[in-house]
Parts: sequence; C-alpha cells; structure tokens
Amino acid sequence: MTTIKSILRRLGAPVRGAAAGREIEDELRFHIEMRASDNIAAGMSPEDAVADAMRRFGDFDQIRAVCEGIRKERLAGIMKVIKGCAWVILGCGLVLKMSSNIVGVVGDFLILISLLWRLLIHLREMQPDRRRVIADLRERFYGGPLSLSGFTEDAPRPVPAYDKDGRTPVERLISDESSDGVK
Amino acid sequence: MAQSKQNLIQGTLAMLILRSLARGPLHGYEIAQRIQQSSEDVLKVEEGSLYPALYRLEEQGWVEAEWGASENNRRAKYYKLTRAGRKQLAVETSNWERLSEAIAKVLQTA
Repeated sequence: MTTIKSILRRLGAPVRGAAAGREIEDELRFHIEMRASDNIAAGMSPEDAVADAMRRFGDFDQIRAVCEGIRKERLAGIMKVIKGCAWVILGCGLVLKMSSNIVGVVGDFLILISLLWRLLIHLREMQPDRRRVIADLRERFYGGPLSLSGFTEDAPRPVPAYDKDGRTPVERLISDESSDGVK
Repeated sequence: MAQSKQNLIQGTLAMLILRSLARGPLHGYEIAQRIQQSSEDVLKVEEGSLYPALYRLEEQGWVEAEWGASENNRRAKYYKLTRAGRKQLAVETSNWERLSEAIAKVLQTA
C-alpha cells in the first residue's frame, strides 16, 4: 500500500503544474527563513541574519529555475511513459480485436458444422420411422410393397396404383371389406 | 578538470544526502545542518545547491518527499530514503571506500 501511495505521489507531483512551482518556492523560502532564525538565535540582527541566510543559500532565482527544470524533465519522462503505455494498450487492443474476430469466425463455423451434423443425424434417425409408416400404409391399403423415391434401401417393389381389375386401392379396400362381410 | 571536479562534488553530495537520510526523514535545512555537524564543520554545503541534488535524487527514485509540519510547526517538505535509495547508498559507500583506500595507498607509496 505504501509503495502504491509512493508511486502515485511520485507520478502526481510533477503534474501539479503551478502548485508544484509554488511548492518549490515555499521549500526554498523555508530554508532561508530557518537559517535566518538560527542566525538571530546566534545573536545576529534580523537584517544581518537574513542577508547571511541569502548569501549562504546562493542565487534563489537560479536555484528555483534549476529545480523547476528538473521537475519538467520528470514530467516529460512521465509523459513519455504514458504515451508508450497508450501505444502498448492500443496495440494490445487491436491484437485482441483481431484475435476475437478470428475466434468469432471459427466459432461460427463450428456452430454451423455442429448444426448441420445434428440435422443429418436427425434425418437419419427419422428415416426408419417414415419407413414404418409407409409399411403400415402398405399393409393396410395395398397389401403389397410400395415404392417411394429416396428410400432405396430395402425398397419394396413398385406396385401399380390400379390392380389387374382396374380398381383403385380404395375401391379394392371397400370391395375386400364388403366381400369379408358377405363371407 | 573543472568538469571532473564538479562531477565528484555532485556525486559526493548525493552520497552525503543519502547518508544523512539513513537515520530518518529530514527537511532540506536539516540535511544541510546534519552534513555540516557530522563533518565537524569541515564540509559546508552551499545550501542552495542541496535542492537541485535532492530533486535529482527524487527523480531517480532514491528519495521521496512528503509535506509535513516542522519542529517549529511550519510547513516543511521532508525527504526520506526509499528502498532503492538504501541500496544506492550501500553502493556509493562501497565505491567511496574503495576510492579513498586507493588514493591513500597511492599517497603512501608515492
């Protein structure tokens, strides 16, 4: 936690602009005032104390400018890092987007294949049922084999719609039932 | 020659600042005082030059600064050593010892 706070403080410090500039000045002034206070405590007059503190400190404006320059260098360095990070994030985003597109296309293709596969299995499973229905019809109405296109396996022999007496299957069924009734 | 002298002074000042902060956080004025007192008034830092050096050390991540209240209840910026700063102090101290030993040997034999 301390490390995170420290990093954030280090990142934030140079970005504060004018406030950071004032902080530099405050810090330097504090130093001179402390020296002047010590000088006064040592017996100097206030004027001499301040003059001595200023002399020992050096060129205030120049030192402030140097400190500002270092702060700006830090800011430039941080901006460089931020720009670098932005490019890396952008690049990663593009790569991820492209990858997700590829994954999406492959996924769609697999889903389509699985759906087609499922449909084929369903058709294969459905086929015997249709055969059974047709066999029932055959037994009930024709009493013989029936041929339908598309079902060639164990296909029954084709049966003409009309029998040798020229009756339709329905007529024959009625006729058979009535003859059964006569019997 | 002037350039090498300046570099030596800058490098030495950084080491002295790091050493002063090894015992705990200090503000700039206290650092200057600590160096002067520890050297028994032999080393007198030009006080203004302390701050660019401190800012450089902060930039390098060897010290970190935080505003706080001074002993006379004034707002002051306190510097403290970071973990990297502590390592750097060990390196600088070791280098300095090697250098001073080497110079001492040369002076003894010459």
